[in-house]
Amino acid sequence: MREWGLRWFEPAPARRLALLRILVGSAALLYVVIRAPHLMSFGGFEAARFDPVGPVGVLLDGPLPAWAVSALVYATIGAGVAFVAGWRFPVAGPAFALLLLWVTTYRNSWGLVLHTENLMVLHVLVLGSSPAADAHAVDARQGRLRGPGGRDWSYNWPIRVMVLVAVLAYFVSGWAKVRNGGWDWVTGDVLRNQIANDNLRKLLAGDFYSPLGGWLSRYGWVFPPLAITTQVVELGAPLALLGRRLGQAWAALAWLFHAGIVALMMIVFPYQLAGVAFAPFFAVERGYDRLAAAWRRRMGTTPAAPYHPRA
Amino acid sequence: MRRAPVVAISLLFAAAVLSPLVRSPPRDSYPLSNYPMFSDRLDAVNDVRTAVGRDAAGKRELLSPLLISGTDEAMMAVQTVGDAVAAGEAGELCEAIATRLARSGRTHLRAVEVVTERHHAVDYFRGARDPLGAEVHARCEVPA
Repeated sequence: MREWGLRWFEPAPARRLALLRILVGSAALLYVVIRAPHLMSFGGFEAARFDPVGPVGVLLDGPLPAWAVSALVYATIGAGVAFVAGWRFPVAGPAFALLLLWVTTYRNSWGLVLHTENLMVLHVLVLGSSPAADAHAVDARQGRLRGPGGRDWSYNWPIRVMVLVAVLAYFVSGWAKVRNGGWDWVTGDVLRNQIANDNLRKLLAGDFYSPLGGWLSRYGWVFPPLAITTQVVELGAPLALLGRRLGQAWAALAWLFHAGIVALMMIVFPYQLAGVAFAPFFAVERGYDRLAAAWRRRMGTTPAAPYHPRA
Repeated sequence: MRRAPVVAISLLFAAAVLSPLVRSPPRDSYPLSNYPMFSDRLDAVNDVRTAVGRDAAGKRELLSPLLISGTDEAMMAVQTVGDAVAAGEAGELCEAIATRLARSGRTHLRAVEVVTERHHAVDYFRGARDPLGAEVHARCEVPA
């Protein structure tokens, strides 16, 4: 097994990074399009509820006018289309990353910070500052590709950073549980009480909750194994850096962890559940080629050579 | 492309994601979070602040997050009620909810109450649905 976790400077195909741009960018764009009414609704909130965090806290003392909130959401969608298409990426890449950071931070600047989009935003920031549109891009130009056959270490390091950011985010989350809840978080009733209270709050606020989580909270013995699994995923996340297969195994476990969160708490992490968050752990271009071949067989078209960007 | 800037960018991202670990006192932010959700020690008995509707017979009915806070997120609704109660503005929130309720078509509801209910969360799911205690912070009529 080749050690790959910390090998920043091995060559990787430009296609891999480009396909990650399309995957991650599409997920982020879809999120903004679907949530646009929600993101714009904060333009109508009372100023007294404004409690800025992150970059919004650095740049604003008070809320933006409603028209500016809406305009920034529309601008994010426009930049997102260019990001996914790979059009004028040196501008569109950073622009979409910064606009996405802004609109999601603004959405979290009203007294309640949610955590379902953090990793998506961080991944878009990494991709936006990388050469992710040298292939599979509408304006991919001849001579842009680096390295022999379009393989170069400059297409590898952003993927390594995406992996690093993912595992560190889970590690921080696991560390917070031990720091705040102590090891009782694993052995005691902390998780059981969290799940019961979270479901009850949702139920009393008239929202969807997990009947399964509520029902299971009757049985205390269920929760220590779940808490141990949680901590294996979170505190054990850095182990995913040690090897390709370890990383992929951790990614599968982390996906199951999020499926469990939906089942027990009705909390949906769309980016993780769609599998996009874990795509950097895999050679996505191979999956793309298999899908393309299967599609050609289904359509009865002549097999073609795998896509090779113009070099 | 030179390697030194790449190493610097990589370390910058890593340090940024880890930075919440050394925030003192620990506090949440975005997108660099210390992920405090579900990390606190929490008892089974807790207060839940919310708003409920009452029909003509006084029967209690749950309201949606959209009616309570103007957004579709339950946690934002709970937060909105909590903030209003803490700020002594439960009455204003009650009126705002009643106005939204009047527009929603749920005409059988005649009043809104902003309440804090104390529940044993685990026992609730065992069937003990009645709150251990309740405090009504504000009550207002739904405009016709």
